[in-house]
Amino acid sequence: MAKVVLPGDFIEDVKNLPSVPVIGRGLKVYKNEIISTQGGIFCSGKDGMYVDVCSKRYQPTVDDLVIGVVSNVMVENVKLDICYLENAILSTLAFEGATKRNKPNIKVGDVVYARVISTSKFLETELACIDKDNCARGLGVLPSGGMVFKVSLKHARRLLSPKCQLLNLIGKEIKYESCIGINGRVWVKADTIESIKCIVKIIQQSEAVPDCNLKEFVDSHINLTKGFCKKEHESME
Amino acid sequence: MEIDLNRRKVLTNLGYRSDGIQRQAQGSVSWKQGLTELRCSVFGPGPCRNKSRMRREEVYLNIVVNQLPFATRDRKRNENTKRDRQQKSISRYLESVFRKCVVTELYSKSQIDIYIDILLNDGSAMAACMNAASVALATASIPMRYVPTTVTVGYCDSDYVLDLNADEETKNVCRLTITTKNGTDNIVAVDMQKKCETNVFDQMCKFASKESSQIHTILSATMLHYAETCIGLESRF
Repeated sequence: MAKVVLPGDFIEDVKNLPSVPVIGRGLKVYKNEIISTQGGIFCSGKDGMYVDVCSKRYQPTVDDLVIGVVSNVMVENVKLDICYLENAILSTLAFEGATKRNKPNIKVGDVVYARVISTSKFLETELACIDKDNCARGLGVLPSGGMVFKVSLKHARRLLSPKCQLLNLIGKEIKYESCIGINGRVWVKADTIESIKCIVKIIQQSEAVPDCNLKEFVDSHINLTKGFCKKEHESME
Repeated sequence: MEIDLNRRKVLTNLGYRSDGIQRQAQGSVSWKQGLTELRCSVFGPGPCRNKSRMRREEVYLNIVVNQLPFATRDRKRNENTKRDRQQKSISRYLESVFRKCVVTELYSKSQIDIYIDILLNDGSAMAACMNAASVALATASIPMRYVPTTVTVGYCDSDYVLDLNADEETKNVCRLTITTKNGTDNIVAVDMQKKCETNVFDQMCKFASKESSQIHTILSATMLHYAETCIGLESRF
């Protein structure tokens, strides 16, 4: 059973710890005491401790992979909305193969998959679509024709976990491509609009489904969609 | 008249659902303390709309307390209740406590909105607003150093009374609203109406500190009920 902590609860004295741990999110050191600042599930290991919080507000961290929507295009920078306080900044030279003469074609409303390279509470968050070898490795502007929707941060982390089989189960029935950002945004693209709607509904409603019941849940939703398509096909005849 | 149940309104006029939870807010709570009933909504850290009030090092708290016209026995006009002296004193008291309680250095140059609607005012409105706002902030996952626990104490007919109602407040009764840290004897804020002797004031402070642990138990149970949803999701993953 996980331990639930509330704001202001006493966790541990600093002097009692054998080594210097990593004090993660939701915790704060206050006069040689570690107290929790948020309500959630307390998780601890040998390296550090943190509080698992069910939250809707995204807090950017370095090396996060996020999905942003272009809100403003300037000469050298692009402003992206990544569900944070202010818009993030993405340089137009931070794309693969981009030079001052050859800039990527970005318009307002495009969806970009980028990595957070710098974050501060005083400055704007900086993003980039290349790594240190100047290769994209999947980052960049996502192609058109897909659908972007929001899920909670916990569900996004669950989908990105290697133990989660939801995306594989959907892939056995429907051919699609998807992109999941750690800030709670998911991009899905498939051949037909009915397939996209089916995948979006499965991903959104599977938040409250446990892992052992995922297969029956996905099968029932896909059978429902096929039945709906079959019924519509019969009515057209 | 036949009522179509499928078209029954889910949202009331104030934007709340029928169970009192506002879905658009980051955290919301429906609070009832005796006959005093109110709703509290917290809109999480967002960009500061009023640039002149933006702070460079900490978050700006925008607290609006609104007493509805039908909240008291005598009906009041709606357009003036937000600027009444009583509502302004409640919002100033809440701001003085939460400025120290919320970990404000995490969100620089941002704004947290707290909206409180008093549906029925039967005395001790300041304590009810403070308790509801602290629970709403915890459900919104905003980091707090402690849970402010507020209790109202009065000195009436040579005896100490707790949690006054509207009849007791209209009499010539010395009234004290005390906020403590996590229900302990650390007093963080005091609001006093009318006069009393010094030793009576000391006894009232001791009495309030002793009784505030019961309020903290209720606040912890409410926040624990919200945090249990994380357990429900976590244990089934």
